[in-house]
Amino acid sequence: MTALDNLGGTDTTDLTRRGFRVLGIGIGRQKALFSLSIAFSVLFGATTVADAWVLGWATDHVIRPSFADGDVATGALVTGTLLFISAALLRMIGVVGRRLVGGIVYYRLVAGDRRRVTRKYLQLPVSWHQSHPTGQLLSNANADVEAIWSVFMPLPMAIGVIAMLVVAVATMLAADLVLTLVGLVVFPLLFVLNVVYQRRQGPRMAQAQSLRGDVSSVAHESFDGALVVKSLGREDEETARFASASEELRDANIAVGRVRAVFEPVLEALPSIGVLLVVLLGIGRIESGATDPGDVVQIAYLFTIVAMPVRAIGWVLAELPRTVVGWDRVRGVLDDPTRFPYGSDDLPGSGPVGLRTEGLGFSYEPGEPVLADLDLDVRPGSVTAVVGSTGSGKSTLTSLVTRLVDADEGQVLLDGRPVAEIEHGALSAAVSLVPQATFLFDDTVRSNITLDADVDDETVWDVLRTVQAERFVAALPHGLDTQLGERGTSLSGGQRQRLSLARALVRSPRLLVLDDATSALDPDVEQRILRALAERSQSGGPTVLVVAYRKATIALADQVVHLADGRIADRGTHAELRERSAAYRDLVDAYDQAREEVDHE
Amino acid sequence: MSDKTTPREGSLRIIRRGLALSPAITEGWRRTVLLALLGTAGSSLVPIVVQRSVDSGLGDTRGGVEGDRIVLVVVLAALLLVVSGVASWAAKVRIFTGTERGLTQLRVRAFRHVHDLSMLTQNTQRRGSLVSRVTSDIDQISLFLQSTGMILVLSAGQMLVATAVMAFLSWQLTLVVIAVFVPLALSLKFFAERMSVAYDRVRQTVADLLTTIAEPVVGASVVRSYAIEGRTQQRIDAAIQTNYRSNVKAQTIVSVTFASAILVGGVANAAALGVGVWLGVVGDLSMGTVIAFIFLITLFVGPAQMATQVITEAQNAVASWRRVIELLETPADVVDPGPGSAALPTGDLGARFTHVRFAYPDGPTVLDDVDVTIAPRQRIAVVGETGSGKTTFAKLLTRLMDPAEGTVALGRDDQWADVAQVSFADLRRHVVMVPQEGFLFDSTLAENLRYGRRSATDDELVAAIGDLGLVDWFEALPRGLQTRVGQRGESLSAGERQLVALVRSALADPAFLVLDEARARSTPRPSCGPRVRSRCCSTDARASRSRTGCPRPRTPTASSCSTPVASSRTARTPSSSTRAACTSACTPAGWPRRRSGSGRRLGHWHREQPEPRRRRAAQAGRQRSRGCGRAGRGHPRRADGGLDGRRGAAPHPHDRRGHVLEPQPERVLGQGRDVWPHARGARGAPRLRRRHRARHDRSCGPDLPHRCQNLLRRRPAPLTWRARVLAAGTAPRSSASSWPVVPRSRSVGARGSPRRSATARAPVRSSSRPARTSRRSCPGSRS
Repeated sequence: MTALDNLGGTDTTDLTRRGFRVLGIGIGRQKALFSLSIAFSVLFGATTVADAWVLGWATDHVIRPSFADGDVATGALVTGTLLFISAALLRMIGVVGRRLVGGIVYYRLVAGDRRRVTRKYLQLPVSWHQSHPTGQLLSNANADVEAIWSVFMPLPMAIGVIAMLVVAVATMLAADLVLTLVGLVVFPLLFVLNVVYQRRQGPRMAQAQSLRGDVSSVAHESFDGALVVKSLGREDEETARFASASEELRDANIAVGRVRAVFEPVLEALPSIGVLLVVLLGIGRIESGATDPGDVVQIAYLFTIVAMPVRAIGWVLAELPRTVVGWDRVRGVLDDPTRFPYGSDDLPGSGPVGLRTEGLGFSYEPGEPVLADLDLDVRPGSVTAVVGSTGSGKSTLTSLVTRLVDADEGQVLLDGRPVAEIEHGALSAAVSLVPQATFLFDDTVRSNITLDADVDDETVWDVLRTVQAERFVAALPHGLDTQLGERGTSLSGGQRQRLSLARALVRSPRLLVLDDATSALDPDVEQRILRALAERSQSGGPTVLVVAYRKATIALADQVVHLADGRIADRGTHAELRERSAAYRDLVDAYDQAREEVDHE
Repeated sequence: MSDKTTPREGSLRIIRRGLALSPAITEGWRRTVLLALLGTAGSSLVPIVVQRSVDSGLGDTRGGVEGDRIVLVVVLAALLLVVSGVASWAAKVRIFTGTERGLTQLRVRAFRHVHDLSMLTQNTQRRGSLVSRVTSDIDQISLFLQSTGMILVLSAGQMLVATAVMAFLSWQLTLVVIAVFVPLALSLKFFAERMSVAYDRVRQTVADLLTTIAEPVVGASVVRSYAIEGRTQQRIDAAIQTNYRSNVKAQTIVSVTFASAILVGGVANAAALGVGVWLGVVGDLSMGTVIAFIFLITLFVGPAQMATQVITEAQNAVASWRRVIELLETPADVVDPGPGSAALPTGDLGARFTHVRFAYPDGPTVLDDVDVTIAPRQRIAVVGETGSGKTTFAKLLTRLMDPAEGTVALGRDDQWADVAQVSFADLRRHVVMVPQEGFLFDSTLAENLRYGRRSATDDELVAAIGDLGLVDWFEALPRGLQTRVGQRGESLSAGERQLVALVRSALADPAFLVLDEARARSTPRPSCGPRVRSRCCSTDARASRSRTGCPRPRTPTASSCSTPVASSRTARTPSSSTRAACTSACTPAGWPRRRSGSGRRLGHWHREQPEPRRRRAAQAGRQRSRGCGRAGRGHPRRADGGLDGRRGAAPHPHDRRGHVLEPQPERVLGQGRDVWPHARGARGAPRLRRRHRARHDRSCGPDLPHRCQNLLRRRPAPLTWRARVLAAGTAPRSSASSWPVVPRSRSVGARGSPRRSATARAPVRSSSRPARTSRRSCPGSRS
């Protein structure tokens, strides 16, 4: 929103120009439907003028003769009524078509860009996602896309109005030249006033919108910190803070209202003044016989019905800045050059793969390496525990070996093959990562585990048994078919982690990477799961790389790698490391002091 | 809240009560209505002018044109047009000003009321909806009143005046026109309902759409590592398509209802023409009147076009209004008795629970018949399993909630005051709770610290930071006290936020301090453990243990040894000997026991107890340099008090990454569903982003207890507070590892100053049942 809020009147011509260019692109994307909506809109514009023409005609051919003769001119009257009704009918068709088809154009444009943006999200690498705030990305695919195209809602009408004005001036010219001059003064004036109105209102509206955001953030913050506010007795100060934000918003809203209060009566009065002028001038024209009363009535009526639609042009111009801002943001995503190409090699063979890293180096910020010169060797079918304190690079290592992220230096090899050369599907089939943070889809339990892979229920249940999740899944109202979207919140962190583990196991990976994936589990459950995993590994199951904390877990590993400050401080078996490294002892003991005693019970 | 109020009240009643709650809206309404009527009357001038001039010869030139008369009419009309324009301006300004003022009153009132509701601190899930009460709901009313509501009022005025003019010109023709519009009016309700249903459906598909769109964003690494891009895209495409269809459907209804008024207008024109001409021929209707009617009919068509939309939006606005009113009518359950009701004794405070029972509305009993007395200057840990009522205990103590039965009193000796009778101002000054999540406001460090004591000068703030031994950390901050902490303090690391919260409570200088460990998600996060410990000059627990003769605990778990708040649902503070036994038996596993050198600190700590406060601070400083300085100075990167070396506004890369990976997406989305329907368009996005951040913070949470506790343990400074009571957190495992304070208080009782021993031995009121768990876990210690 911020960029939008900053839009004052700065460089409006450029904005308008760019806005029109975006309009052109949108029209190009929905040529056929857009043309159809314009056709409807022109029909609407023409029939609006026709309505006035019918009144003029009826005045001259029905009303005046009838009143003059004292006898109903039946034939003409029937024609007049039918003309009124058919003009209205056509106009109605025009309006329905314009609004409906125009709406479809808008919704199609929005849907199209949402597809584009989300496809791009799926292409962009994980590192890109990590460097962009979630909220921003969601907003790009939602609000920003809507902001670009919302101008298409009033656009067909605005174009129809232009057609209407042309037709109106033409009919006026046909009726009376002098009276047309009134129209040629009033219509442009209406148009200019509308534009001035929107220009003045725009920044005020943006200001109000931004203050609305401020009020909302004060409320969010204050309620989120309610415990602090209450326990320190700061309710009065908080209320004062909120009140001052609200009062600013109030004043901004009133400022918007004041501008409206000035412009709207003027915009309403202008056509009326036009009518009065037409009547005044009409006296002379009729007296001189230059024009018929019907023409005067027609032109007067035209003013009353044309005034309102003319506003649509102002709406379009008002929307253009948003269009440009939204466009820039969405293009920012779509044009992002970041690529993450996968190789084309297969990963032949079956059974556990060996993992090796050579001189692995990685940093998030230049000059602050997270991992440096890391050589790791994991034998196929073995269990390796990675141990280290916060910030030692454990999670980064898991992202690198599963190729969620590419290393800055060195390479990761699976069975001697660089991961960068392996095809995406082959890699994901061979390697499963269970990340720290569980992510479940708004879908059924089954789909969350199989992710549409071709796996039968028996296998799913088997895996659920392994991860100690069979009982709670069976207890769900629809078992595997339970929708997690609705029940997701009722699952505990541990339950979610177990589903996440099952998801990895069900695919029988050849390398399983667990990044602190059991943190929410009770220790005994964790132990049971890990033992089952270790057994699997020994009987031809996956090679396991596990970021571990608990001593009991570490003890299950064939090899322990102790990471410190992005480097391997030591490696060996748990017993060896314990024997020779004080730092390792400290680390592991500290981890486990709580656990140890609980476990001993 | 809707479940609390009886059947839905009529819209009119809601509006009436809403107006009563926002008196500024209706202030001077008579004048406003008068001005509005005058303002809308302008639109009827043109038809009158047309009628007059046509009848004055413009329509029938045979009788000659009465030019002068027409000019007179036109000039009069022009004058009236100006008058009505001015009236319209005045009316609009009055309406805008009045409604905005009134709604701001309502907004602020609702905001304050939310803070008065204990619901806010009880139920975090409701927060989102409470926020929307004071934001989007009131915005909705405001937007409605400004746009649609204004149209409604002005159209009504316009139609009213037009009908009056029509009736004046010809009542017969008026009836004809009304008859034509009646079917449309009758169908409004039907269309409005259809539209409402269609919009609901749209909102729902929007929520689903957002959920699905979030999948590749929040779950980027899962999508990537399982190579399920295709599946995800399919789901998104399906959601986009569903949303598209529901939008088109709603648009169809809107288009048709909007346009149907045009057809009705055409029929009305035709009818006015036919009947008018006939009436003119057989009766005395003038030609000008017939034409004027055609002009007047346009005044009905506009409002009729908008009617369905107006009704739908009005319904939404009334629904919003109803929600706000219902909120305001929810009685504040914890009421400030106001000043002068009961005074707390000055100086040290203790607490006493008498037969306290607590249950959440419609929920199970959380605490039952709890009898506890906490003497002043004590450190008490409350431990127990998840859901055992520890947080409830803390909240009752700080009167964030009231017990269902029994009383909570504060005081000492024979001076006790029921907390329910103590004014909030007094209570909050003396009793402070530090929630485990250090919540910071988006402001400067100084402002955040002043939440503790609003009058504190910068020097006092710095002094408080020094008292807690956080000078190293503070000096590393880029802009000192003026450092912006960012939204929710995000510019600081989780540990730093906690430190700020601690300094804040130190500034509050309460007589009674309650530390609540917020819901710890899971296991103690060991990743921060070693580092903290390596820096911390910890007490030699083994020495303490031997002093009490309690064997080195092999088995006890937190819950087996907890204050029976947990296990027997009966809170008690064990008698001094029991407590000593229990706490030593309970020596939490996380309690460091290796560094013998730090025993010195314990001694130090004891010695300084009886000394005057001002000297303590000096000692604290000395002690820092002696006991802890080595670790701190030795590793400059870590000299920040256990904070990963993170500094100021430069977040560790992991932080950034955390925004994407850490949130528990399904929760976020589950809530998103509640939130988004209110948050239309762009406004929703920042809110969701905040939610993600919140999630992120919480998921970092488990690190904190260690840091907080270690800080308390290692720094003598906390003892300069008069605070003595600690109420513990939730998960037993983390409780166990993070409450090393307990043995200290025991050791203090055992060998500290005479005064301390006395208070420790002070008789403790407890219920009849003995501290079973304590005895069992530590049999030898009772001898």
